[in-house]
Amino acid sequence: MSKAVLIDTSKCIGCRACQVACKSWNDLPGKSTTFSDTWENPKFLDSHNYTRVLFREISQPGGDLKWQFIKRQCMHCLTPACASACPVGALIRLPEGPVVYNDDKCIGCRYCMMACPFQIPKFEWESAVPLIRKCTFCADRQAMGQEPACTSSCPTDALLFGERDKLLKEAHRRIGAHPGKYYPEVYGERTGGGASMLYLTTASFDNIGINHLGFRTDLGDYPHGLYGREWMSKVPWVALTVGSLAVGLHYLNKRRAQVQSQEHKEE
Amino acid sequence: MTQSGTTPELKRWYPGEGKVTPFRLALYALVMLGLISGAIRLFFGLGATTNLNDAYPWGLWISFDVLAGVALAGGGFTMAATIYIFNLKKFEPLLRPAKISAFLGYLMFVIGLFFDLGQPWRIWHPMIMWNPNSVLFEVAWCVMLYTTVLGIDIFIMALERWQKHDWVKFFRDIYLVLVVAGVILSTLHQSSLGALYLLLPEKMSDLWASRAIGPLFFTSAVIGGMSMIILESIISAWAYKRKPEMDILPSFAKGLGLVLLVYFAMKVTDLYARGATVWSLDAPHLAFYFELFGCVAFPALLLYFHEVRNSQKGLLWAAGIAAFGVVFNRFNVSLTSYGGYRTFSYFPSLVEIIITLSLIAGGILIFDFLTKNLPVYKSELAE
Amino acid sequence: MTNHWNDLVNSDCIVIIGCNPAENHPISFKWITQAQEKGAKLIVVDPRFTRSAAKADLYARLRPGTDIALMGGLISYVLQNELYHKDYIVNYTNAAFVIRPEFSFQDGLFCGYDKGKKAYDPQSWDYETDKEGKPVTDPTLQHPRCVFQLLKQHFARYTPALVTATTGIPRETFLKVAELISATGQPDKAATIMYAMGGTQHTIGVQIIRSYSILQMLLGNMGVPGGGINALRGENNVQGATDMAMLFHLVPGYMGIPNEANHPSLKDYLEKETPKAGWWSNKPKYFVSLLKAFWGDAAKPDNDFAYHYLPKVGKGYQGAGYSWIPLFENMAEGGIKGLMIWGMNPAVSSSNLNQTYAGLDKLEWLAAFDLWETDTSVFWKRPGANPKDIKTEVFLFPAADSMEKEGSASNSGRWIQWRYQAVKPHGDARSDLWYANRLALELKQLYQEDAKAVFPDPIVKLNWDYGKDPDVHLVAKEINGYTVADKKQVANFLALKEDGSTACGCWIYSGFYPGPDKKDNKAAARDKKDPSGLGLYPGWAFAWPVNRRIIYNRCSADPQGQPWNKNKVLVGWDPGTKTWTKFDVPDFKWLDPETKTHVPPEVSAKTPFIMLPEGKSRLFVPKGACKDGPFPEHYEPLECAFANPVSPQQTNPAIKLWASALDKVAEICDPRFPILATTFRLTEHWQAGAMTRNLSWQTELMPEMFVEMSPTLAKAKGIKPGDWVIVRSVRGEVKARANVTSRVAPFRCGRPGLENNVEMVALPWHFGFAGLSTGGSDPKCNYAANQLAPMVGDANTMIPEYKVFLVDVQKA
Ligand SMILES: Nc1nc2c(c(=O)[nH]1)N[C@H]1C(S)=C(S)[C@@H](COP(=O)(O)OP(=O)(O)OC[C@H]3O[C@@H](n4cnc5c(=O)[nH]c(N)nc54)[C@H](O)[C@@H]3O)O[C@H]1N2
Ligand SMILES: Nc1nc2c(c(=O)[nH]1)N[C@H]1C(S)=C(S)[C@@H](COP(=O)(O)OP(=O)(O)OC[C@H]3O[C@@H](n4cnc5c(=O)[nH]c(N)nc54)[C@H](O)[C@@H]3O)O[C@H]1N2
Ligand code: SF4
Ligand code: SF4
Ligand code: SF4
Ligand code: SF4
Ligand code: SF4
Ligand SMILES: [Mo]
Repeated sequence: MSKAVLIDTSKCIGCRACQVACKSWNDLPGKSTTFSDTWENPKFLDSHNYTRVLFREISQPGGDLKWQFIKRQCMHCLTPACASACPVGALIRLPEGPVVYNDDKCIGCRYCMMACPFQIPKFEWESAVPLIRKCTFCADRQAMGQEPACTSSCPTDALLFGERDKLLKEAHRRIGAHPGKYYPEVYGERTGGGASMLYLTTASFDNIGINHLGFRTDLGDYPHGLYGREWMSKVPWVALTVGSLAVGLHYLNKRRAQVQSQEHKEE
Repeated sequence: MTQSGTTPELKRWYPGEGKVTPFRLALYALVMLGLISGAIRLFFGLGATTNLNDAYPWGLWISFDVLAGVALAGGGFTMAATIYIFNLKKFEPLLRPAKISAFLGYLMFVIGLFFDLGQPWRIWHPMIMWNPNSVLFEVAWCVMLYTTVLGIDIFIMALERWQKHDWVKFFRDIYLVLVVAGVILSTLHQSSLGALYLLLPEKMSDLWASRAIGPLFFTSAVIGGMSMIILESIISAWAYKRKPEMDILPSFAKGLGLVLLVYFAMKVTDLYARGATVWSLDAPHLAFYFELFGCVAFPALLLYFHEVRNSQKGLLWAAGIAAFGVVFNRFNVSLTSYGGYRTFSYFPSLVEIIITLSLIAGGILIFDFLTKNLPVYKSELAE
Repeated sequence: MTNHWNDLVNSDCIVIIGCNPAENHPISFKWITQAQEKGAKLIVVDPRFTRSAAKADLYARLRPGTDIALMGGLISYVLQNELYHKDYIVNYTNAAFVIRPEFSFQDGLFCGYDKGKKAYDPQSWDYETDKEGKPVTDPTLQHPRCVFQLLKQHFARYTPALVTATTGIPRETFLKVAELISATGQPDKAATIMYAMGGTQHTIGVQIIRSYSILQMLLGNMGVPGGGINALRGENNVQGATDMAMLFHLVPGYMGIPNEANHPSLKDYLEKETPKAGWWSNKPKYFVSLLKAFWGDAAKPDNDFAYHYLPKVGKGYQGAGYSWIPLFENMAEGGIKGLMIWGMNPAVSSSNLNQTYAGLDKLEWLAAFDLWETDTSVFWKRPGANPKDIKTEVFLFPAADSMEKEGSASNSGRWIQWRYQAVKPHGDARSDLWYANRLALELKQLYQEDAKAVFPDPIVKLNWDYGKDPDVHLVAKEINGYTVADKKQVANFLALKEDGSTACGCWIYSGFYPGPDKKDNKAAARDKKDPSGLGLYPGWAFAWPVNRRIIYNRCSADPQGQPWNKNKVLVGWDPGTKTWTKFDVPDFKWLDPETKTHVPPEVSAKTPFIMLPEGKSRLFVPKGACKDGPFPEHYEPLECAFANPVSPQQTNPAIKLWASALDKVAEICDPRFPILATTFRLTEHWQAGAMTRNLSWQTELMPEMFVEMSPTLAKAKGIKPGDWVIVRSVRGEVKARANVTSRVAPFRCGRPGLENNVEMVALPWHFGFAGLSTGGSDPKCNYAANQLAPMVGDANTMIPEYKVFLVDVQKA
């Protein structure tokens, strides 16, 4: 059964224990940063930061002040664009949910970075022999029967690890049980073909103003991982068609030319 | 292959080689710089030497060396198809230079890619590590195979040069297989290079994010190839003090005009069908207008005129603009379009630019070498 | 905490006031979030919009230092609208007690104030007594001098209009808060109040907390599940530390430290400090057992159990005691010559740092026991100081951290939890126990061998026998207590004796290690059963006293012993079987030790607060147990931009001020410093910063010193987000990055006619000048916020007023 994380941002207190736990488990170095007016730091995901909590202060004149905290990491898509993009199959989705990466296969072409609709895979730019880095869904921990480092460290259960179908049910139960509290859609349920990271929010990501930061609301439900597959499924037919057309035309045109020159002679 | 000396019985096809001109010196200097930059790039890594970043993982090398380079090298398969499949034998004189430049185009691609990859020495991985869902996997295989095909072609020329007639005959007998393979492979990867961008519709401007990007890339590659053939024919004639094939070029150019028109129609239909926002005055839109009207419609219009088609200068301009249009399109797709919503910016670093320039320089030098040493402009095997 | 962390889930209304648990006690939100899920309302009252406020159902922005005005308004609202829990206050509080007729209150001052001494004579702050000396009560609460009526009268002044004028909270918001909280005056509803430094770090800190408590008493929210008044303790194991008397006025187990003036002999001490009624009447048993634990066989009945070995508070220090401020004032005057800094970093954490540095500079030696080289151990290298001029010899002892040693830690819920060594200490580091042991053994030997030693006995005869490599279990067992004769562990403090036959290191902990073996160590118990369903987990660790999870739990049931809330039962009387059902350890006399029968509820209903002699909770604090008044009254902070809207008395009349040249204070509404400032903590950093500013993962999250300011202030000063600015007070200045945010806003309030619009800035105080990250890139800069804060303490506790002072802000 496929595992997932339910990220209920209404319960997130922005403590960033998850961020540090991720660094700790994955042995990622702390970087030298500078002050950030939003308090978010590091300011971007990169090869040393697989996850990060976005802080959004929303103050409408006259309205209540809101402060939203949204954890970001790889979505672990059900039909991952990254995996479908990778020419050597270095990225694959495990049946249990994690979309994992094989250091030894990767050629460093960075097509996965281009393809991921959530802008997740990051490159070790500072290295002379760079590899791709991204959240692993702690596949190594899961293999040992443990939950991901980030979910295990979340004090408020804003991150809930479990079976995807059960978590989806729970998400919809929460939406139903607290009318008006949640934005009535689970981001990741169908987004981009569905993902293992499921978000409950109090407003749409559009409204929170982070749709350009890896939380796009215009992705639609179509599985992004299928775009490539679709094209590739046509390849053999195109090859066959072009091939037979070429051969056919070759002989046809040759024959026509022969006939023509014959006619010339006969004249 | 040998220089003069080892095979003294062979006469040179063209005189004047070995002469050191300032232009050639500049080319050598560029190649030297390129080699140094390449070493630096390999030693210090991509992050330190390029301006690529997590927001712009693909930059100049992909836009130019790969996308544009391959499109401009489209002349090889276009000519092969023209001659062997459509049986338009009169264009034969254009075939061999086209093959050479195609080969060089792909060589550029491979070398450019080598520098672009994070793990260059794993460039062979796609051969044994398969992901049949990946467009890039397909591109990798096609390019690999097609370059081999082109390589064989060049090899045949070499065999001719060495006068290994039996071998040449053998290849001639199976030549159709090579042609068909080349055409299939080209069709596939020329369009697949565009299809790479099918995966990221949300990151691209409406203007270029088309579901029909494959056929569009294919068609524009034909334009790229044909324009380059015209340009090469004229420029090399000037360079080698040869007469350009003005007997066939005008009618070939007519073909180019036709393809441009087809391409223009495709673009417009595509935009209309997708309901893209066509009219606006921001930078991407201006770039788009320039690409479509300036570099597709305009050369098509130029080529409509008999006077243009029959003048070297006219051809040079029309084909030049069309070729530029293809390059510009590749940049637009991969950079202008992609940059839209990001706070980051990208401009290639010196190393990127130098390597790209040195690849062009190297290409010209090899072209020069090959045309001087292989039966390119005059076939020994004239039927 | 009267209750404990897990209990937050049982609340119907959680009031976060004067603390920011989402950031400073994140795990509390596990329970708060669950309570919210079940329908509880979350109210956050804070001058700043915090990460806690972000989760609130209702947020009230309150001017710092005005909690009493808000609470006064709420108390008044509850009283005027009769929303209080009447049965509760009549039976369980001193509401019905009649106060002596001389008692009065006028113009912001209680009677008995001596202007010269700046202190009260609390003579008349007392209950009226009958002929037998028993307090007179009026259960109808009608007597004009009963506590209830006085309370009503006292707080009647705190009208919604005055609340708004004082606190800056809009009237509608105030009424919403009032409505939500007072809804828990229903017998089966409970609100909990969570507080910490935002409530305490004021010159009126104690009275602020008193005002929280009074509201909770009126609503019947004390002693019930989901209720209580819950101090979120700070440092890891600071609860344990205070239990063990890491406070200047106590000896272990919350017994007052003797002082020279009042307690020359054991008899004086016991007579004056032991109340006639209530549980504290047992104090002699605990005190003598403590002396026995200290000095063993040397503590004999005929030498007053070595009472004369116990250091007493010197005459000059009565009042302020050996609290932080007088110690550092003395140091600066050259009095104190040597300082052991054991796990703290005052070069960042102390208020008025320039005064602190002046003290440190005068030291002959300083010994620092820490995990790191802290700002304090390199105080002589601080920006602006010339190392050549500082003669202090500094010793740095590497300490093992909490993962590197075994022992107990007590959390805010009073749970003593045993922890095991996870890894061996790094490098040469040793546990604090090891250092203390070594120091004690070394001192013993030195005193023993030195013929000229003055008064060596307290050291030489110290009962100190934990081995050369000290065994922490031996210490734990001594804390639990044992009978002297056979060295058998006592079951709990009921077994402690006044005659010297028992020894006990801390009576309230007695019972946590009742047997000789490690398996008897209840702090290590890890049973996850929860029979009550209320998260009491009686088999998990040990809560002092006697594993009681919610104290004052008699109050969770009515006088007849029937729980107010049938669904949340701690204890209940079954009239049929005449027995008590108990999910928690009863905080009252439920079993007659002689007859072994259950004591009927009416008995315990008389004294549900067993620690107090009157047995009832104190809405009115008699006899000057609080030095600044029997009722809370709003006074302005020492440095303030407003004239007190409540009374002509501007500041707390009972606070002590220091007059050294470094103890500068801005004037009221000082035009040079027109902006309010407050200090706060961040999730990402720990305290004075040594523990987090040296960790790259933490500094990555919060790399630089900043100051929160409103967009209006930033605009007025021409400051852009991220700009470096200088924040200046009359005492010093600090550089910080501008964090321009709507999370802070100006306060528009003030006494009618004197309304004012005053901006507030807020500074995290974690940054300094030493370590991996100091707070900015300038090595010549000290980024510690406490260069600004004043050295002035609460009238009772002496906690410094870190939470309000005056500053000005300028672009750097
Ligand atoms: N991450 C982290 N956690 C910690 C600590 C740490 O340094 N870092 N320190 C620990 C320690 S020792 C302690 S004591 C606790 C302290 O825990 P808290 O008391 O929660 O800490 P503060 O942030 O100092 O203050 C809390 C809030 O009080 C507000 N405040 C200021 N003035 C007033 C006022 O007059 N009235 C009211 N109602 N609120 C006011 C401030 O704006 C602030 O948001 O935290 C402990 N937990
Ligand atoms: N402006 C302002 N100032 C404040 C406050 C405020 O709210 N505002 N809050 C005040 C409060 S509530 C407090 S509690 C104080 C805290 O002030 P401090 O106690 O001075 O600060 P900490 O950083 O907690 O110091 C603890 C030190 O102990 C070390 N340490 C950790 N574990 C161990 C151990 O096992 N053994 C030993 N020996 N050392 C260890 C750490 O490395 C650290 O250096 O600050 C006060 N200062
Ligand atoms: S979010 Fe991106 S990187 Fe992660 S699985 Fe989906 S496509 Fe792949
Ligand atoms: S960079 Fe590596 S993982 Fe990403 S697509 Fe290329 S080969 Fe696959
Ligand atoms: S699942 Fe693991 S790798 Fe991914 S964010 Fe959480 S801790 Fe990091
Ligand atoms: S650990 Fe949980 S509460 Fe804290 S920031 Fe991460 S998701 Fe939010
Ligand atoms: S003590 Fe530890 S677990 Fe508890 S709130 Fe603080 S960081 Fe979290
Ligand atoms: Mo604290």
